[in-house]
Amino acid sequence: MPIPRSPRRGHAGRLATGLTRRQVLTAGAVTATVPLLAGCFGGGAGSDTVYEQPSGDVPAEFQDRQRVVLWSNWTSNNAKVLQENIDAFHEAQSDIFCEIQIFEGYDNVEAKLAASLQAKQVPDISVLSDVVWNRFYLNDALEPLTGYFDDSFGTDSFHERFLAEGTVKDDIFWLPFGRSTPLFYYNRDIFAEVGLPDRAPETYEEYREWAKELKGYSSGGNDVAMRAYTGADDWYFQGSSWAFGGGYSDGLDMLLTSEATVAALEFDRAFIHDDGAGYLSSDPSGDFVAGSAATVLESTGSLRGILDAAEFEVGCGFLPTQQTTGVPTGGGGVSIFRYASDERKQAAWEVIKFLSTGEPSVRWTLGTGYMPTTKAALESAEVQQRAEENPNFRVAIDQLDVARGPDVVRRYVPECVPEAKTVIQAVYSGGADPEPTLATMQANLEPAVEKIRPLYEQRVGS
Amino acid sequence: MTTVDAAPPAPSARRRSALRRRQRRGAALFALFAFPNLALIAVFAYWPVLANLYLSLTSWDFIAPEPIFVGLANYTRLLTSAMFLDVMATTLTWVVVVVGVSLVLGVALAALFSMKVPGTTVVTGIVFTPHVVSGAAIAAVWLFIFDPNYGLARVAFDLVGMSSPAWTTDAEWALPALLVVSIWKGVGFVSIVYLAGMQGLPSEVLEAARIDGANRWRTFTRVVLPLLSPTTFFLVITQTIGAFQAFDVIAIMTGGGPAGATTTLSWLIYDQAFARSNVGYSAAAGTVMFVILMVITVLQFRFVEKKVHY
Repeated sequence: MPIPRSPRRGHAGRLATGLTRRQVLTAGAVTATVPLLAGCFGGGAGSDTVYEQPSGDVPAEFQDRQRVVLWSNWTSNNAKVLQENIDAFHEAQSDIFCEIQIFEGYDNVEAKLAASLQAKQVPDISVLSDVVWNRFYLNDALEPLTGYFDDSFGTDSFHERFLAEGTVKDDIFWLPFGRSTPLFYYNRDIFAEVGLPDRAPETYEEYREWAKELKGYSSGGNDVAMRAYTGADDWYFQGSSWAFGGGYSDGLDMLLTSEATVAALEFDRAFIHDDGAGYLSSDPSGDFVAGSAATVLESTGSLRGILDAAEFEVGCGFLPTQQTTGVPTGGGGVSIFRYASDERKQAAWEVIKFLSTGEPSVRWTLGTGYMPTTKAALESAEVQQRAEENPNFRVAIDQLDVARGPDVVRRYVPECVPEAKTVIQAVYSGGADPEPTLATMQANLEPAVEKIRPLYEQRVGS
Repeated sequence: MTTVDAAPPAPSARRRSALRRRQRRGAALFALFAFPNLALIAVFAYWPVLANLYLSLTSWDFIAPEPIFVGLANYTRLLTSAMFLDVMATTLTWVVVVVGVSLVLGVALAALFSMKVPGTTVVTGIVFTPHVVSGAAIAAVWLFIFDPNYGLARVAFDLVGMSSPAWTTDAEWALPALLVVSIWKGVGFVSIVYLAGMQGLPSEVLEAARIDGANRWRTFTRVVLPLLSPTTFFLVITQTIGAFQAFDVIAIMTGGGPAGATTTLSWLIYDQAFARSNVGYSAAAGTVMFVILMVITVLQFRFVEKKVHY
């Protein structure tokens, strides 16, 4: 008599479907896991959703106050200045305690925010960079702030150009705070020795001519290049693309393959590889300060550091023009999160209001080197005095009048900045042909642009 | 009336019952001890793998309320892109060079250390130190060394009348530069493991080789190396997995650049998720890496292990 096989073994467990018991159980487990996994991400928050505050430490003397959590990217000196202002806020009133939680760099704040939204916890205020806040806005995570302004603190408190950048459909979502623009820095000693004028070049063409005059100049046995380029930030290329009459995009319509944008990158390629006047550096401002490069394009926020570190006379000027001016604004601003409770949002607003008015706003500008973003700070006696004493600081303020926010694709499409960095690195380092390189970038970005287009048109407008 | 007492259970039935109780108690005890570890592994190892697999089938930017299910679109895009081939070529170069050179240098250093010449302890410490120092700190130091304007490498090149390459900003030099740093950081660990392996070799076998007239080189290649094959097997697997996951040195020194020249699969995963907000695409790349590592490990166990002498 044949021995019946155990139903647990081999193929004897095959069911009517033709599948083994193990296969059916596995399929069942996977099917059951998918909704479970899906439930782990997102959650579709409604307009009345309130998320928890991130945990932290409240000193005993502030236990009774409404707690506000501020996520900041600033470390070292800037963190110290911000904390001084918050300490002053704690002294000035007795209802609110603000706790700063630091995540170094804009990218880390963004990553932490993304994770916190999944954990259904949000800070009340967060610093967001100029190319990041828009994405949180698109996903309806930011609180509209226009209604919080009143007679004592109106929208006209801020510099219009900066305020406009954080305004969508007449509502303000992002307030200027640590804002900056690029400046043209030059080594006045080298310029004098070579016989170049004591000013920044007016056009990129003039810049190139001057670079030819510098050719062969050496200091301490080292050949000195005209410009140390960075490959870690496409901010300066955004500016030069405008200066040559092009740009990244007009709305969501790409301009990367336009003649003018290609010409801007071709200028850099020729400057580096035909003229030997520039090079891709891992630390451009360090090279400038060390005397390896005669000029550098750097943030206004670096002004103080460069002046302190350089052992030569530093000159500052507007960025060169070509067809037109090309000065992008940059840096960070602050937003309040929609998912905080009303009490937390109101308290957060009080913190922002304090930081953006009177002495704190002046202290922030003078202590960090960021641009004064409020009219009160700009017109204050201290800031004006600093501008009188240091003409380079005056240059930074004056250049604001010709500055503007990044193109829409750079702000709303997350792939844009990394793609642009790859492109400029390929051209600066390997001397790649700008036209096909930019064409590839445009082709790579097209799907990403199309992905956000419906949401962009709905939330921002065509 | 006569009452009949129930017959006592047969001795064999009692034994079976006692055995079952013991087995149940043993299973309960096993569960008690194993559960904390199993729970941790399930939450921090298997759950992320499953979650990653799910995310790889979606389009999501971390911020949107819900991931959108897109099926296999991320895999199609990834596996058909020219960029992926470049990334895989860089990754394989990285893995082969780092693992190969680390093992060769590591066993050579271990052989030197095992000779116990004066000063060996100090040198062993110096060679091992980079392994325990944070990768970010090492990368920051090497950035200074490689600086073409004022770095230590420039001084060395000046001595022989050559100009230093732009190590981290030249697409041709960036990968070799990172390989140097990665090997320098890891070779100490490999050499210490090999040294431990050598110290555990049976002395009678080495003695027999010597009596048979084998010189040092022959003894090393024909006796020591084959006897070290379990150590080599362990190192090949751990170093391969480690090389695939290399991140810190790349992040600090080049950020995957210039122009993608140092973008490995691990950097691609980070870059797509956290710089480009392409969570689904990044998760697909993560799954591909998981599969590659699984296949390599299984192949090593199936074919390489046969050549291992335990």
